[in-house]
Amino acid sequence: MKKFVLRFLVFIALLLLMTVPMSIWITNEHFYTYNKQSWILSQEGRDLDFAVIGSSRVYYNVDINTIEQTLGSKGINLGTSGSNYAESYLLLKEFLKTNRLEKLLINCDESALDALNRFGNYPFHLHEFLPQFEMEEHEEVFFDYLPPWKFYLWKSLPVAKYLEYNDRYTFFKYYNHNLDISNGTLVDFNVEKGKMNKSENTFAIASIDVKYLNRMLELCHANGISVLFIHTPLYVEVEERASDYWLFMNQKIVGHYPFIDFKGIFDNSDLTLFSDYTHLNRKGSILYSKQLATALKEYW
Amino acid sequence: MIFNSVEFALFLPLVFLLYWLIPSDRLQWRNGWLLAASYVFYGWWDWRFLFLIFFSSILDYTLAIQIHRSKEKRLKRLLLLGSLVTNLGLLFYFKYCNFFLESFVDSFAFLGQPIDIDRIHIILPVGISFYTFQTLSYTIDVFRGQLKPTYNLLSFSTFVAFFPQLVAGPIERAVNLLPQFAIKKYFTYQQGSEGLRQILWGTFKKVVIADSCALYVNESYQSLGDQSGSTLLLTAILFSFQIYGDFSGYSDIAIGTARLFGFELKKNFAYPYFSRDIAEFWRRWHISLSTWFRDYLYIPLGGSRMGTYRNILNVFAIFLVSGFWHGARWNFVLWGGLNALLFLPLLLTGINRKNTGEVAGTKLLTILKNLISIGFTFLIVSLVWVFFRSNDVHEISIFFGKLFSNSLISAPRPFSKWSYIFLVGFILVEWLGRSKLYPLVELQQKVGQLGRYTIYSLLVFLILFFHKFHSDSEFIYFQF
Repeated sequence: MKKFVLRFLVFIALLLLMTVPMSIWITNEHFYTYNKQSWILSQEGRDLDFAVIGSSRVYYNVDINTIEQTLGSKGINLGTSGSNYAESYLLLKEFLKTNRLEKLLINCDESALDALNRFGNYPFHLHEFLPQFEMEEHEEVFFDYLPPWKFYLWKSLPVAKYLEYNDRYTFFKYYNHNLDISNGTLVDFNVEKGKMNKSENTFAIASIDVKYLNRMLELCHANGISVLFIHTPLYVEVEERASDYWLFMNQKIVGHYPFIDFKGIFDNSDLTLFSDYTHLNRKGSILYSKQLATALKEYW
Repeated sequence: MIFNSVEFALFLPLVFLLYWLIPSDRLQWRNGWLLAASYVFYGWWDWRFLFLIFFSSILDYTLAIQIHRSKEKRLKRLLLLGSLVTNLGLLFYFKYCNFFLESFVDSFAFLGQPIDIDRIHIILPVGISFYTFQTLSYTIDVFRGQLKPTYNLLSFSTFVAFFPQLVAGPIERAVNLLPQFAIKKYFTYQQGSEGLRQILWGTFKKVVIADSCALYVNESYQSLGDQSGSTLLLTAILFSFQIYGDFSGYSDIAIGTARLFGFELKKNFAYPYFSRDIAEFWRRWHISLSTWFRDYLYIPLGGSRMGTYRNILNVFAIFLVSGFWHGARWNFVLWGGLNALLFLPLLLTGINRKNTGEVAGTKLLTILKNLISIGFTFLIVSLVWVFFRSNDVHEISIFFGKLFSNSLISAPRPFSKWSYIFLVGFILVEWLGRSKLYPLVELQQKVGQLGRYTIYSLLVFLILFFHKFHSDSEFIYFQF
């Protein structure tokens, strides 16, 4: 029995030892996912006039090419589906390490302020940032979103995080030409692909999400980036719920920054411009982006 | 709790260590510990259904003793009937009640007289078909006088609930397993390492082979009508590997786990896809169920001794019941019937036992004739599996409608390159080890320590990199 247990433990110890170089190899060279996040993290050496950041309501709704043509400036869409402010903060922080930015448009997103309830299983897309877990500067974000036992397991056994999300990555680099040509905007031609259950949306604000919105603002301040808040279109039938939310944002955070609401610059009663109640389709995003660019002229 | 879960990876070492820490002369303590662990294992899924296992154990324990004590044949029969009616009644209620209700409603609708009956919401207790058959065989064996009943309730309850084989077999006979609970056990290094090796191989089959094939198969079944004939042919072939990897993988883990505790379970699979005809396939596939039906249904019905006509009926009976045992759906019944139709010509022409030995004996390669027979049998079996995998008769008709269309001569939807490589490697390893209980059985004798550890490490990493930590990957046979 003793010999069996001993040999088994030796085998396990050898396995654990082998995971160390394996984890380093994956972290440094061979970790790619299929999502927008990895596209953003792969950007290098870009000197841009502006970026727009937020959830899918930025990813789908803001067409960078249209804004560039109208304003004659260069920009990028840093919006990612289902991202809260912690995720946007991490993306921005990583993006600024290898790129330069002058202005940042942050979307006022009620879902991103209540991510634990609104974004289901993934209030924070951990799997998109696994190589960043190794960086001490990001520890705080992971600690906030991981159960403590898992945080320490990942710390002590680095390969564990890659194993857990083994269905999320590939050994091949991700190139998405749609993203390349549109500077990060998702080209979505769908019209009315789904309707939203309006009653399920209740208004709540989580302190953890506010914390990372503030972190993002601090980051911009430290890098000399001027911030402007926007509110991308919601279909007329669901816009009411945004008013309470906006009141909070205005009082607590946004009050100190310029703000461009979609109301007043965009007709949100035309359903043919939406792919669902909270996202624009291609036609809608071009129209909204034109009007947003025109409104931006006042500030820039 | 399922074998390919993190919970089980923590549960097994704990149960193992505590089991062997109990002194060998404290047999009842050891059995008690195994029973408690088995109930935790089962209760992890749904503790409410522990009552059913407990009830089944008490019932058959008591009835078997009464059958043995009773002098009167009529009373013995009555007691056996009590066991049959209660066990099969529970099985019927939990597994088949809604099926018969629906069939009843459908038949009225077919006759133009639609009726409205509410379905009863019934949860199917995991493993009920397996442990019901296990307890039934015990009572029947006692009734037949082939086995003396046990007077040790603890041993009997542990036999019924023994966690390695509780939820998906192998369906053990009391005559094989029950006496093992009464023997003092001493741990041997050989036994422990063989157990672990078989668990490793079984987990590889489930996680790397079956689950990879499942991705392709499930995607095809999500939109059967949109798939090309060639894609559906590949789907049928991959499902064959999926169900084999899944079920035989489970059996390997079960046998290996039992071995860690000093128990020997029966072999459940004997490389069925190297069979040269359907009869040989059925001698090698899910052996514990096939032999159960042979001993407790086919032979009591008269087997092959009562003339051709009766023999045909008996063969149909066991295949149809076997199909129905798998699930309360018509496609399972059709699957059983089709297998009977494929089996009967061999039986009636007397060539059903032509291929009984190992294909090619101990040789590395076999003759072309055998290869063609193996390929043809595999193809037939794969097409028959379509009846098993489909959810209803409508899906079966779509599948075969699209399969035998012009698009059969086209490139199929791509399957992962890595999965192809592992699949081919897997077939080669199985071929080389086809005369053994499982292919890695002689690794300890034939490969040095460094080589062995390299193979084990490779298998462990493949399992870890293929395992889906965030999605359910239950064993197919859990639903039965």
